[in-house]
Amino acid sequence: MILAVTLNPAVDKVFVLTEEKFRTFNRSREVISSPGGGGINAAYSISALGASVIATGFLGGMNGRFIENELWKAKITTNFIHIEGETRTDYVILSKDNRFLAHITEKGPRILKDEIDELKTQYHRVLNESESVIIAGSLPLGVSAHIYKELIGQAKEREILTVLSSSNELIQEMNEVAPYCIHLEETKKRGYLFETVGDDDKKRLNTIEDLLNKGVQVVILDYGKSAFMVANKQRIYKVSAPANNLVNIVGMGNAFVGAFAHALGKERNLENAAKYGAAAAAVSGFQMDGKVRLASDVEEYIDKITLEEVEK
Amino acid sequence: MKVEDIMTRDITSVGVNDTVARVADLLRKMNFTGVPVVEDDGNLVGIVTEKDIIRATLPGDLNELQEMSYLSGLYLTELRNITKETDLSQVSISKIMSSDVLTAQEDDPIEKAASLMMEQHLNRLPVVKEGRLRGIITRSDLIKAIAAGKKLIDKS
Repeated sequence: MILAVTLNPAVDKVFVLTEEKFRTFNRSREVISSPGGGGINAAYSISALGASVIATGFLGGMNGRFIENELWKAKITTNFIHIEGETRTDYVILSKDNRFLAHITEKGPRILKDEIDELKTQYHRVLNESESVIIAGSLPLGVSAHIYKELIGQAKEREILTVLSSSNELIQEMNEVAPYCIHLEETKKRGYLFETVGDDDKKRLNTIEDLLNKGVQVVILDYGKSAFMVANKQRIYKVSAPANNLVNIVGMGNAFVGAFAHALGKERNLENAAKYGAAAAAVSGFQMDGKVRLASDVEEYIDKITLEEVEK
Repeated sequence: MKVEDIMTRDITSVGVNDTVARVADLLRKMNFTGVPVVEDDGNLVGIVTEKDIIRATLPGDLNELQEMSYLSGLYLTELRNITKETDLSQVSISKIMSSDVLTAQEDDPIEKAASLMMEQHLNRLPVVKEGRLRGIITRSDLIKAIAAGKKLIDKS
């Protein structure tokens, strides 16, 4: 069983416009709503690949109910803490020919202290049957980065494989409590979307080395448009998937994380896990709602993944 | 058709040491009529319903219950002790939950679970695997399945 933690989930709403008219009224020809947030996107990958996954975090209001219902349809088990606030909505705007135009996100509700305490209680309970834990996505208002240390620390005490997917700023606060694996989205950090960020491999390798020296065993660096670097102390790989005609890139990184964590947990083979991660990311990017739903879709992409070892 | 095909895949539960006040608030927030009770290690040990909580706060009921021969004196004594407490945030859910909880397995046929729920007048049945919650099947799940044209009885 894999536990996927999303502290600040969202309803992802994708609007496909009939035409692009700026600073004026626009109509959408289609609106697609789906559950979103780091751990949830990872959970979809894991469930599609046939593994058991429990999704937890904070949910509230009608958005929260929508998310739970959709997760159940995807055979994802839920154990969310129900909060007083309303779960946020994320907006993705696509052009009429499905080109990515904009991504607008809300901060989300403020989590109360007793809701945080309840999450910790439920997490402690569910850890008993978890082989690995993925903690992914942004922090909601009212929750400090210290929670990462607590959740990862508890899992590590029980020798449960831990994966943290977050921004570089939050990961820098980890210090002494290093997760087994870190996924760092360079894309978001730099604010670029849909562009591979230069050829600054030297900086990427420095980031990877820095994290490995802090006790992280595996690093995934996500630098946009289906391009990833995956490394452990012995090897570093560049892994990429077909990237033409991507539709919705918002959940690709965490789709990678989910499939990667599942494959790594099964075989502990970095190369194979990286291929599955990249294949899942590609599948996610080609879907309007950004969700991986079928194992066959992922399997179809495995042969199209390029894996290249990088000299240290 | 099996239980896993229509059950609600939610494992929300309360701890055996949680208070009645806390559980009542949870039922309110989640619009549940009952919730499974687990130990710290996640093993299912009971179930608590709206009825259990309401009974715990209505001492008047005890006089009527006293007349019902199938209730043991010990149970009524416990209820009296609880209702003397006005602060439900000090009362443990373990004092009012049902410990004798019936369950279903994910691969049980639907008709088995549905029949059990009807015979025992249950609104919900926790679904377990090796003692741990995997979900819950409720009357609402059965109605949804029927409304969707699904057959509860497999005649093959």
